[in-house]
Amino acid sequence: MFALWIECFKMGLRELWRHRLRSFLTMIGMIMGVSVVIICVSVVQGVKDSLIGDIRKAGKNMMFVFTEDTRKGIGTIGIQANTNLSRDDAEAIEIECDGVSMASGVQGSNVLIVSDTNTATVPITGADHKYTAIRNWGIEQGRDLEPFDLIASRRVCLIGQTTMRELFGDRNAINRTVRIGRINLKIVGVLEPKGVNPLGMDEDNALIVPLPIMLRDIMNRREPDAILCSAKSDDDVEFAVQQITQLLRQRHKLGDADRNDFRVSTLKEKEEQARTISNQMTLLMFFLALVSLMVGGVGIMNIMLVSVTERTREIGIRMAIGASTKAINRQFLIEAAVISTAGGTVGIVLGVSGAAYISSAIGVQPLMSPTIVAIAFVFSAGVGVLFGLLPARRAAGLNPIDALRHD
Amino acid sequence: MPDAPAIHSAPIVSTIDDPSRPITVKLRDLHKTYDSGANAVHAVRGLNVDIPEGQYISIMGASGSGKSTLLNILGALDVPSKGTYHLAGKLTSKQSRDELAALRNEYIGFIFQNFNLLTRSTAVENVELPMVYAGVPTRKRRAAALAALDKVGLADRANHLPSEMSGGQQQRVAIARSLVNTPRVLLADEPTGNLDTHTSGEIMKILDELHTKDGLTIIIVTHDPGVAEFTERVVVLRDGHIIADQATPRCGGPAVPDVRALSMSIPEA
Ligand SMILES: Nc1ncnc2c1ncn2[C@@H]1O[C@H](COP(=O)(O)OP(=O)(O)O)[C@@H](O)[C@H]1O
Ligand SMILES: [Mg+2]
Repeated sequence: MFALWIECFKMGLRELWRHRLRSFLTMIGMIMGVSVVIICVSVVQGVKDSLIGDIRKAGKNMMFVFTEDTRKGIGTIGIQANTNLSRDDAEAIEIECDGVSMASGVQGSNVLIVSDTNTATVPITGADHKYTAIRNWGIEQGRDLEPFDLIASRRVCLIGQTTMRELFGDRNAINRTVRIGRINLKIVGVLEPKGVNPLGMDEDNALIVPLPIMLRDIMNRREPDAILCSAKSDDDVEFAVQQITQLLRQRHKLGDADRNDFRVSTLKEKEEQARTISNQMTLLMFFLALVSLMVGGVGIMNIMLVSVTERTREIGIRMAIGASTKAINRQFLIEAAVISTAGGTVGIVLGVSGAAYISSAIGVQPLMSPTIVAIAFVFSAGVGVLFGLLPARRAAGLNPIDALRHD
Repeated sequence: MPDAPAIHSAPIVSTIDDPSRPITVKLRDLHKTYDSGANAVHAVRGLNVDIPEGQYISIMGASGSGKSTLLNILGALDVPSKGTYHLAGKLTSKQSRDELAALRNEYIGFIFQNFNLLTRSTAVENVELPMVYAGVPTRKRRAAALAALDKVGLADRANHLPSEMSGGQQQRVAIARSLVNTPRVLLADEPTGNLDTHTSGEIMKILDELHTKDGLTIIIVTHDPGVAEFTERVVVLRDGHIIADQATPRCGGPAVPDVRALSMSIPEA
């Protein structure tokens, strides 16, 4: 009976080829469903991997401490006038927590910067001399911030590649001056190029200034609203977070019943978030794909019903020479499965090449798992079988005599 | 073509009045009623017929007399409303849909007036089809199909589509198809009805050879007395009744009645 399977498969392929246009139009639903899901899943997975890769590169051991407003009982986002943190907190963390190697108060803001020729709005960061070390950033030219810059509140800054280009064009920026409000800052160092991160933010659009300048002269505030720390090693992160939390609660004189007036966030945590979000998106894609496969399946069912009607006489002839109901049933089931599988295969090819194209356009490595290709293939064949059931049953249930007389 | 004398020269062993032969087809009180809405059509009314193995028999009758209805029942394409049909000792009314399909596949060869070939398959593919359903392996199938085509003189047309062949050639393909599973009985419903006189002669010659050389049981429906004269026995139907059952002149019987005249002249029984 194996011969009959092969025969049915051949007949299915031949029928598909005979009605090329019709088969193609029927397959479009399948093609779209399968290719879109493959594109989306592999691009999303690719973005996730590159995001996680960047997080790892940035240093999984980085920890941010943010101030959190406890008075209204809700966390607030963005820059606040009041902060619960202080430079002393940062210093205490570095000295007292043995899981922490370095800590620096940081304060960020978007500020209009003026050079001798241009102006630009740039996200600037106030930090101390350990900032570049914590972030694992290198200096391309000139020098890093030094302890003395902070102690003496010297009006110096480090500049990122993009910011330098915007303000100075092709000119060398070292030792030139930029102005923020009334303050003139001398550029003492140029940061190494770091590129665009997967969220689309240009890491080279940056200006680093000594924290005291940032707080007192630019923002007009007393203390920073965040502390950037690095753990001694990746494995120390959780331990370090505990220590920081304990220390800050003690320093902030919080009772046992009080909520933290700060929040410690880690890149490890960000990595988990990236993973969760991308997995949720993948799941969503699967549901969308399922819907479009169902739509494709209904199209196949429709065309198969038409085909059964058109080929009633052929069915009659086959029955007259001895085809069993099972054989006729199988013929039409396989035909439906052949259409849907062909659609699925075209969809896989389009999906894989589309994912490669889109990924290279947005600059990530697409993640093509053989699993998703296999799942797409099996699902598309399954859709054909599922939606071929009704037409095949209709064909097999025909009365030989009536089918034979049909014209 | 009432005058086709050449074939008669071969000496034939008559199956008429030979009690030693086993009965291939046995009909008892066979009825078929079509229930088409308000008025039921009683197409076949209580037939009793025995057809011995190897007999070449024709069924005649005017249009609407029930010939095709009878042949479809004989071919296990349709089931009787009442009565019994034994084919090679098997009671067909006891069989399921799929058992009947197997019966058609193994025991019965069918030839139709309009050939009923698969229009989009080649001659050899058409001939292979009964073997596909019999589960014959591909290579054996192809060889057997080519041999069958050779037997009907169409070896050189194996890869032609039906649309690329004449009516006579198409009917020969159909004959080849009906023979590949070596059936017990060959049924032909007006096989020459769509063919000209010359082509009809070719087809009848092939059927005659199948009878004389291979000893195949052949039942042929026709309203052409010239065709009936090739056979050994003729059964004449009228309104679902048998009104005559006789040997043909070839086997010492009287002249075959012209059913077209018959339907006019003989009053209701
Ligand atoms: N499927 C059917 N439904 C209803 N009546 C039918 C059907 N087939 C045949 N008949 C009727 O049965 C009678 C015998 O038909 P048929 O066997 O085709 O005759 P013949 O082949 O001798 O011309 C006719 O009256 C015909 O109208
Ligand atoms: Mg008829």
